Amino acid sequence: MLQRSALLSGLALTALLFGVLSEYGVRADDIKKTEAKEQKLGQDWSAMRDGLNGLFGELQKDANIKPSKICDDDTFLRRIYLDLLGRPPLPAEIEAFNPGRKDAEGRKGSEKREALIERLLAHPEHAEHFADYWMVTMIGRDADGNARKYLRQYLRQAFADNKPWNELVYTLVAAKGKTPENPELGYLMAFQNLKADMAGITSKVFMGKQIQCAECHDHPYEHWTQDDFEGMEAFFRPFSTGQKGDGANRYWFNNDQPIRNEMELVRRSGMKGKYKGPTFLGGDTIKFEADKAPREALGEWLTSADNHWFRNMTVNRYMAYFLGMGFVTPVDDFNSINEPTFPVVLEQMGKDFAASGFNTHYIIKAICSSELYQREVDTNRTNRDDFMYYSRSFVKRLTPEQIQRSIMNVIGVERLNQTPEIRDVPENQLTEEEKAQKKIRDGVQNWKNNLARLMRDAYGADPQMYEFGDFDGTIIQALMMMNADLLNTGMLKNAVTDIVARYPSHKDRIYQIFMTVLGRKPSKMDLAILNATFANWGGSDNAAYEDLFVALMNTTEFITNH
Amino acid sequence: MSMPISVTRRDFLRASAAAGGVIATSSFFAGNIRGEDKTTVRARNSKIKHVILLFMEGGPSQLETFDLKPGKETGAPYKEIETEVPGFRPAEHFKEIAKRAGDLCLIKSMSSKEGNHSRASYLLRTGYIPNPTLKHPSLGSIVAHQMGDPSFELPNFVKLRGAPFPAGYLGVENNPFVISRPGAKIENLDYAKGVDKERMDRRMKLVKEMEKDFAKERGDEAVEAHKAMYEKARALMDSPLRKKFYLEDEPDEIRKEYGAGAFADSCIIARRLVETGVPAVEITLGGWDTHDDGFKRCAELIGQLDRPWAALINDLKRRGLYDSTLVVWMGEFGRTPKLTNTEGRGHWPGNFCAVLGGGGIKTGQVIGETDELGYNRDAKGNSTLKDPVSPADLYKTLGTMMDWEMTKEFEAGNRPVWLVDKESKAIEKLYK
Repeated sequence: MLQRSALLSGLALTALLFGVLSEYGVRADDIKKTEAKEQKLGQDWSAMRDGLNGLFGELQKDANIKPSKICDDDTFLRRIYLDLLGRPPLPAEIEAFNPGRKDAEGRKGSEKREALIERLLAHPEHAEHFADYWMVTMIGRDADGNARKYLRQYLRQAFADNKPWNELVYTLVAAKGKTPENPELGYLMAFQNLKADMAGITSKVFMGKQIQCAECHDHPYEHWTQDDFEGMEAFFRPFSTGQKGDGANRYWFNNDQPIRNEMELVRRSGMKGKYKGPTFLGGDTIKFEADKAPREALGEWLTSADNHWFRNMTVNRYMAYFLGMGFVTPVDDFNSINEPTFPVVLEQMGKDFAASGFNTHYIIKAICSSELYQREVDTNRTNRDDFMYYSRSFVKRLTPEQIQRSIMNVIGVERLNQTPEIRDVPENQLTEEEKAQKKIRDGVQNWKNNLARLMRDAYGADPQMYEFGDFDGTIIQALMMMNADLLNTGMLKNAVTDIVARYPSHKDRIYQIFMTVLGRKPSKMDLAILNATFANWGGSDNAAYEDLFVALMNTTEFITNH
Repeated sequence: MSMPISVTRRDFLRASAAAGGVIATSSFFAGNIRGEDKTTVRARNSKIKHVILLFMEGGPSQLETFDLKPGKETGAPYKEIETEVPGFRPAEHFKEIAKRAGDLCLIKSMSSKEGNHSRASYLLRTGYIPNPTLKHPSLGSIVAHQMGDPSFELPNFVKLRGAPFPAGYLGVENNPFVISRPGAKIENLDYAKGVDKERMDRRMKLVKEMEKDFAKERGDEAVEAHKAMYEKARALMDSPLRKKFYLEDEPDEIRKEYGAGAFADSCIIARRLVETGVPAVEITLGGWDTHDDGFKRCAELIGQLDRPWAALINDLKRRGLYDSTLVVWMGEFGRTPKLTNTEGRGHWPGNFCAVLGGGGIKTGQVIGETDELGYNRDAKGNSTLKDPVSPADLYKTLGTMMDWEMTKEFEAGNRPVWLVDKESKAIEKLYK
């Protein structure tokens, strides 16, 4: 149970909190009596967490909702691994976390969980996973291969460095130079010089403003007109990407048309003879500035701390990503008939985020360490229908990228990162031992490439599929998970052989296979089912363990985060 | 589908309209939300029971196919073939299709504003311009939903080549089953090496056991959707009907009639599927984006298209299926009347052709006309296109002919949506 004082220090909201609560109809007489204490924004992520806990605790109480229990360590571990690394935890990682008990450093409870969140945010696989997630969010899965390669490379480094979000986005929108030195060009390269898409996607992804509807007609229920759209599009009109060189020497560069004066600025950005100059959405038309591309002005405006669309969109996306539900849904469609559920809270979190220096780890830590994130999926009578107050967690469908990463790590568990770097010398100069290691490593690499192809075939790549949650189950996907040779032979058999060799007892083997595939320890119920199943199968040879391994990969649990 | 699930899901959506939720906008659960649709009687008041869409990817040139301007500066150096239908004068390479003019209806006045491949393909496949917040189902998914039997062993929408296009708010069971190499062994349809039916059965039995607990505690909707897909996949694996995807038992003389090539094979497979009861088939023929060397490339493409298409019509007629099978030929847009200096043409959505046949529609007619050079506007910019048909109009026409539930309000995320744009107008000449 939270103390009032904790509640009041929360969200750095002190003075605001009671306003927030009363805004949502909470009678909080006792809060009013408490002395308000102003806190500085952006200093302490735990204040945001405490605020979320306190605020939604009060709101739930007022709505007569009894929240679901805080989930156990096993559930939390799997959940946070899938969200931050894009795959379930492996047995060694489960052991290290020591669910239900103290970790190696003697931490337990929320302290232990927070330490894990910190560690995973610094994990190299986190940068890989978020690079995937954001690349798909920005340009989709079917964009040009080179655009994807460069954008992903840029994002991976940016997430590894925890680059402030405003700098990251500015760099993409104002990208200059040439590949490979400036991989950030990948973002704009993806639009293949379609200026309308550059404006539309940039507004949608980074501000939640869907102005693209206004490309063809004035927006049906927003005040955006075709004029507004053209004003945003005009920022990109002087820009194009050029290509030079052949084969391996081929590179891309920004090919902006030079702008030397006001007239040229307007003319270069004009269309259909109307000469609409670059105009911030709902704001001013820019003036000519020497040595400054219109895109740079757009980037500055877009990512400034004053742009509440920018900061709120980011907060909303992370709320939706981690909690399965943001304040605005669809996550990137902020408009007048789609108001946030808690506008004041969103606004406050947005300010806090901006004040933190657009540090995405700040919001991620606040959200993931909050009670909102750590509730069980199981509901009770009072919160079964709660889709608003975060009193329970939702089952989230994994993205194709998460599924691929999960398969890769689960089947590759024993061999993925086992082989050391091989000296970069001709094959015949390697020692026998190195040759053997290289063979394994090449085999694993080959398997990974084939897995990527298999996933692409089964999930397809459709330009319409931009968003988290767009992927449904299809027959083709079910067939792949059941029958693909790649998931039934070779590496899979190796994984089983390795486990069988390492663990002499049948009990340990099924325990290990279960943990490997599903990323958690089996419950008593799970074990009862498994024991009964093996008794029924009447044998525990490798084939039986393979059947167990593959069966678990075909459960709903394997492709969901709960 | 148990009632409580669909009720919960509907409440969920309703709550989400206010609260929002990633999960709600996903169509992952859509199949479960609309429990009532599953029991809808699919037999609609229409002669049409099947649709085969021949989608020409890249934007087929109207000036090299069905709207030639021979001898004019915009025209191709092709001859026209005179047919029994006035105004239906296809390019000389359509030797077989020309003979079937009486079985077809040509629309020369398809018209849109979308000149970008991806946006225009979306428009022609769904009848709607793309909307970033909503996924419209494509023609095949609509047909599968409106006319398919959910318990049918084969998928209700089979797509031969091309990218998967999600059924969006119509739910996972109406997604296309995509066969990327028609006629070749379908990947993963057979048991993996070393796995037999017995092993697969015991695996799936274990999955089922494990799911019970998961469903109870962590979301029965997800498990239901997952289970439905697996059941459909398993049924397909073991179904004798799966041989309909292949050509081994197709008589040689029929195969000869359709000719060789992936498109020809796809047309035979489409007929086999339709004959078996599949309501929707889409076949993609790509390569029509002829910015350069258009005369040569179009002649080649028509060479791949003409014989199989005509054979498909003949074959369906012979089997008495043509009257219940609508065959639609179209692409995402047309091409510029003005030629490039490389004998190619740019993108041109202002006027292009579509050809419909079968399904008991009024064939042997031509709708729309461009000016003598193939333009749709005069020098002052006023439209000169006779009887323009927008993609939405085409969908309204299809929906009217097939008696789709066009007035029914569907729910997608948190907004109402209709199968066909309400503002559109059906081409009555096609069926009245």
